[in-house]
Amino acid sequence: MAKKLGLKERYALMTRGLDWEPSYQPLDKLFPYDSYEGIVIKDWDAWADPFRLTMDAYWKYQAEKERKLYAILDAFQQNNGQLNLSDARYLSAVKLWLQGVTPLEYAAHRGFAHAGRAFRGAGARIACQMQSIDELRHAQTQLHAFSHYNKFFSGFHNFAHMRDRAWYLSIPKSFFEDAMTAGPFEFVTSISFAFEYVLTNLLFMPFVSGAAYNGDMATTTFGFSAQSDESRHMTLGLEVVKFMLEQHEDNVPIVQAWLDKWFWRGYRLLGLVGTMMDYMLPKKVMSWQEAWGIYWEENGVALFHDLARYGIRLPKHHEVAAKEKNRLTHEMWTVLYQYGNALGLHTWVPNDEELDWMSEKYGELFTSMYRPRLLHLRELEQRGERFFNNRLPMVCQVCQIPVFYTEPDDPHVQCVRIVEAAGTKHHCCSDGCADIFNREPMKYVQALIPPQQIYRGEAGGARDIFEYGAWLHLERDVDTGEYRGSPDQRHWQAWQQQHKATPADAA
Amino acid sequence: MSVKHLGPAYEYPSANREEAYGGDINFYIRWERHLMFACPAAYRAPVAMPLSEFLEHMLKPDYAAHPDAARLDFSRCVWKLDRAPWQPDFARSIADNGIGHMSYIEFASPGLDGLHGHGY
Ligand SMILES: [Fe+2]
Ligand SMILES: [Fe+2]
Ligand SMILES: [Zn+2]
Repeated sequence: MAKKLGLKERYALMTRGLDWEPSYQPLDKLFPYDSYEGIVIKDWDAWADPFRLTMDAYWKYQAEKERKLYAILDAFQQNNGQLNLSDARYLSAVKLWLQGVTPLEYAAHRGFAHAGRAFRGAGARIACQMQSIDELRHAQTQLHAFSHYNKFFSGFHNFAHMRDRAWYLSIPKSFFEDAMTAGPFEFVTSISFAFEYVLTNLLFMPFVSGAAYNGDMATTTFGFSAQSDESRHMTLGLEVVKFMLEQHEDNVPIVQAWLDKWFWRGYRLLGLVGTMMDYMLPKKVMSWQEAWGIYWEENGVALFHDLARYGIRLPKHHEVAAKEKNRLTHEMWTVLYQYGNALGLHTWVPNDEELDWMSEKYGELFTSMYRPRLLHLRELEQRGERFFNNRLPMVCQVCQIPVFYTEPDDPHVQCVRIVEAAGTKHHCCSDGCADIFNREPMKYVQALIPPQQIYRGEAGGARDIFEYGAWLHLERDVDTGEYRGSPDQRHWQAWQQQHKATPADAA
Repeated sequence: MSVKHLGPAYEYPSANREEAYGGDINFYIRWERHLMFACPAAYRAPVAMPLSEFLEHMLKPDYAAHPDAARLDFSRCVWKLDRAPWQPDFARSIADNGIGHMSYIEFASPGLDGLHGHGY
């Protein structure tokens, strides 16, 4: 080559320069998916590339991060890093991540590969392609980091099998599959914008800071390794939404409807994360209520105000989330607790110190309402009658969460909404989910709802919650149920004794 | 509204349609002010089963862990079927009582208001 190319020229050549005009087929036949959603794009060249990264530079950065990450994972494993955790109860959070979130990383890999094929603009295609590879890497590094725990603790053994069968994992699974079965513009709006841009701090921050607070170096390290990818993903999310809004005013109501839907679906999914923060972390980072206040009510709302100049308003039902923020995690934990016989992680009643923390963070409602409930459960357990609810629950047709939420204006009454389509009634957990159902009923009538699958005989012939647990490959009272008295707890206590007794560690 | 789609039509039957239950039905019940049981409960039962048999032998054992369960007297409860006031005839069958596939039953038990005075 005669002269060395400048950065800008090189970038243009190595990205958009690789695209070509088709001559055998019209563009609409080549890219059938990027117009049927109704999004009008007048000028694909107006797409501002958010990444400014060429493929060769991408490989170089990622390889460098990978070397560092695996060096730390090796050291963690060789030094028996699992013994430095705050408590083995913390592992319920890691199990929830492995079973529920790692498969989402893989789903994101697939989703972005599909979206990357679907857009006719080369800039958008390349952004999606890189994210697709990032997400595959996230799935792999998480599996490698968590595989160490599988040598010592229960519940880590069969996440891929469980992912397609377990009632609580159908919550994240159905979230992503809803996005992946939409068109490419809705997909990137849902995942890149609503989930990664608006709500990501409520997923990533609690898990990664939670890991750091609780001595989990393996998880902390992959968290940092993924962070630079995440900032690219967030940029893509914002770029795609602004691009649609700027291209044509007819896009505004379509985008608004997607933001309404995906705010609500994202919020519902994050209830699991909030419950992890408040209950599964032995050392707490912050409460769900505080995190919601900072990351949604301050940052998220400010972002929506920025979008007001395009005609975008706050997502529908955001005020319901505000009303639920002081009870959501307390209600959800008792759901996990009572259906614990089909849950691949342990649950427990928090100790007094933790109850005090909750009283301090959540105030009067917790102290007068939820604390006595938890103490009642503790009393039952101490009498040898640990409470389990073995009757299958009603489940929301949209978010697939058991219908446990209470009415926004009355925490004493369950919130149930009945919708009807295809000649059959269905149930929703909220007005938010009912709105989503009513907008696309033919999509949601197809949903596979775990208790209904069991009753229809589509869960390996399981007739009750115990047979269902076995079908999930969960060993009763080993992988499932109460933490106190579990093999995880017994092993943990024995190892801590040994660990403390070893003189080498005192040095 | 309908789903935007490619291709000629986007119409599907419900995955949980009645025909998938081989003559039984799937329905749901909630005992008001007993939130210790966090969700309405799901059942599959034959439509010819007498309602009393269903309530005494399928539903009641599910609530055994609640101190109110032992004193639960169905004849003194206040009932709703699919959100409307309803007076069940316990001797008659599930079908004869008008309970259908995906029906939602709510009942309150005056005097038995759950634990701690807040319906737990
Ligand atoms: Fe990721
Ligand atoms: Fe991401
Ligand atoms: Zn829902």
